[in-house]
Amino acid sequence: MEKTLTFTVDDKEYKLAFTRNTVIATEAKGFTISKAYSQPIGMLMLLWRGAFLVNHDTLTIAEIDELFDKIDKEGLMDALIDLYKAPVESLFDEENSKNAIKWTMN
Amino acid sequence: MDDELTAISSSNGMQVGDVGSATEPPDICRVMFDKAFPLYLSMGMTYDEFYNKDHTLTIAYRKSYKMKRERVNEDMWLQGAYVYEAIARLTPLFNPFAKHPKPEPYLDKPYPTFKNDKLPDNKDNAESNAVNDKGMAYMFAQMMKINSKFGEV
Repeated sequence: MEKTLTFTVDDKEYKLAFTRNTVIATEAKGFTISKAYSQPIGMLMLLWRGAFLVNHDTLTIAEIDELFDKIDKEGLMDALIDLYKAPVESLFDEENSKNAIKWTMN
Repeated sequence: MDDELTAISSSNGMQVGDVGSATEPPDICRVMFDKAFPLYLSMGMTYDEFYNKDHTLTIAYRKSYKMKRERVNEDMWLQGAYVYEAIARLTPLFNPFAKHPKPEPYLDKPYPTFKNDKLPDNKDNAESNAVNDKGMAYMFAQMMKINSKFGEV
């Protein structure tokens, strides 16, 4: 199952997700993971808007921005980056990552 | 909506092409997807499935492809086994010292596909099985006879 971020506003459920095409579209608008934390404001906005393209492409930008104002931003960037990365990560064998050397941080 | 997304990126002073590090192309994901797509196309995935549908489908396609390859490999191995069996059954013909060489007949049935299937029997085996069954019945009867003697004592 694909990763989704869901929330409900006024009894309407929103399902945010990325497909490979919407990843490309978001990237084409200027989003890049390497800049996600150095330019968080612009990048988070691009990511947020891109995540609506799959299931809510009829929403206007004003409506999306309004939802952004209301949403809890705690951990939002990490969650959206997870969604964004998922279509890329699913191209790689999970067996390889299982065999990878494990590390810990103290 | 796409134009609005562009507007946002421009308002933040970002343009397509001037993001990312110097070595990282700005469209790295597109490049990666376009590079991987022919492989998935060869596995039977459609453009729509790859680019627009649930991205985890690629995992299922990879697993399915591995299973298909394993099945083909097993089939080829089985074919090799049949060829080997056939040649082995013909070997009497290649014996230069045999006066009247007679090849063994080919298997009556294919090898069992599943564990519970019976092993292939040819006529000779069937006959020998019947003889064995007779022998077993005789042995059993003898055992019962001897046991009954002990019972009397």
